[in-house]
Amino acid sequence: MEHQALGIMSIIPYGDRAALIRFEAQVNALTRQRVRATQRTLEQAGVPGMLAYIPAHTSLTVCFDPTLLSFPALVQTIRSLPLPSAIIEDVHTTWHIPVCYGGNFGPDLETVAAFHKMTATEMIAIHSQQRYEVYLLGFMAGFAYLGPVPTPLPTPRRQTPRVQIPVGSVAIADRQTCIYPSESAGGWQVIGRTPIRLINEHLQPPIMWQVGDRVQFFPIESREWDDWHTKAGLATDWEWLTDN
Amino acid sequence: MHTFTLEKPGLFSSLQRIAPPSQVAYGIPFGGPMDRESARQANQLVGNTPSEWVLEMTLVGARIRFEQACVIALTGADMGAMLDGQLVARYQPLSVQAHQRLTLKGAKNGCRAYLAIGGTWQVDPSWTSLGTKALSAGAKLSIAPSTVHATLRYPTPTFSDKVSIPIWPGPEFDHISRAYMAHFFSQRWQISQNSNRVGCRLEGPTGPAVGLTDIISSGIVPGTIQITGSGQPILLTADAQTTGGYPRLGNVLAADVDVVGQLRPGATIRFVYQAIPF
Repeated sequence: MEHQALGIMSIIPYGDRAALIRFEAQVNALTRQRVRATQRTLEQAGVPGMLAYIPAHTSLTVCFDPTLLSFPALVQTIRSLPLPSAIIEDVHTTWHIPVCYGGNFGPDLETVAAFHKMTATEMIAIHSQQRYEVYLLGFMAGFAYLGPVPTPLPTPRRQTPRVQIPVGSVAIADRQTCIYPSESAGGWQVIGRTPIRLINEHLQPPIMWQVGDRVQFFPIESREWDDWHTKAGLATDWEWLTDN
Repeated sequence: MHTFTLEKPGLFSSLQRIAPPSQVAYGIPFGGPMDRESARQANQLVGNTPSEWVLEMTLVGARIRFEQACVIALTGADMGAMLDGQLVARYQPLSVQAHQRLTLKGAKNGCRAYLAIGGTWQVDPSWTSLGTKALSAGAKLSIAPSTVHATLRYPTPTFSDKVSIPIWPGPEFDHISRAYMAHFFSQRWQISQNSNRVGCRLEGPTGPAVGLTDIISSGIVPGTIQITGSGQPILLTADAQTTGGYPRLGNVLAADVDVVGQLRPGATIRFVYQAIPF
């Protein structure tokens, strides 16, 4: 073990400008907390030469400038990291996202509900009552894998992926849920749509959420769509969607 | 302020610059020039900082009209560049007069050409904050000009279509079957037509079973070689997704990622195992 308290199992070179920090291969909240705590501690330590981080389920990729920081020096730095208070606090933002479920916005809602032997109303309740965690960012800018969806069974993907999923579509597959931040092809089951823009190139950072954040969906009626859409379009930040 | 117009964009042209990849935690790709060395040289030739913006052109170059006089430099692929019909050289500064047109054609050698212009580009950060954006015909670009006393020259390289690239073992190296590994290192892999800034799909004969189909999604850095279920490798580059679920066999080192950036469809690579020196 490279760092007992942070749960770091190994650190290996990953090309000559990155290292892969591996945690126990258990996909769960504790591992994700450890990944985030390690990232935050390294960021706060301000190590010269550290450039960027890619947090994932059970690993943290760190990118560095090899002219400023060597791999062995990086390993030493990680080994001697203090246990951060962040692992106890687990500071994160909670987002409240309006979703218009079913109908044209959620063409797969009925199918998914039927698969789980529920009504559409029950499916909406299950999806919107859960407080999700942002597990991972990837696939496309702003795309977050959120979980867990508390269905008795994992929801299968569509047999035929869609060529064009509209922006803001809320979808589920396996035990994860997501929102498509841009129009995309995809095989997840589309159950609703949000009028919220998740990405905005004029803001810094240009993505609303980060790994470790929490997300709560709430249903809105189709007649409310335009108002929400206008409000989202006029907003100059995302603060209005948080707990604060 | 100097302006110039991208009258014809070519096959795929975009603005790129060398910058720290601070946005990768948000799922935004590393980005930047596919051949960083050529981009750096282009900038140095016109007296710009190495990390200034450059125009990256892919396989078929652009036609640019310069409204004002300026100093430019071209590096990377040879696209038969002409200034008002006259052939111009790469790897040295060039004086351009007002209203002249620079036309680049198909790459005769290499894949990507870089155009640097002496001065500070006026690019809104929002243009690339979500990743690479292709430029379209008619795009207008602005530069705050600088006085360039340009005397530097670099030797003009030739980009090979048949390369050998050393790689370090990747995170899943030990979990891939030895039989597949032998197959992988013995092949000369061909760059597929389905290659772009995201990565190069490598084509070759089907080999033995890989032995590992997927992994818990983990970070991807440029130069990573993933092996998909079918046994075909993908060499990921600047605009790759930042996380992936395929096994990572190995990593091309940073300097050689520039070499990859100049490989066209049809070019071939043979990989050579190199032990990690730590």
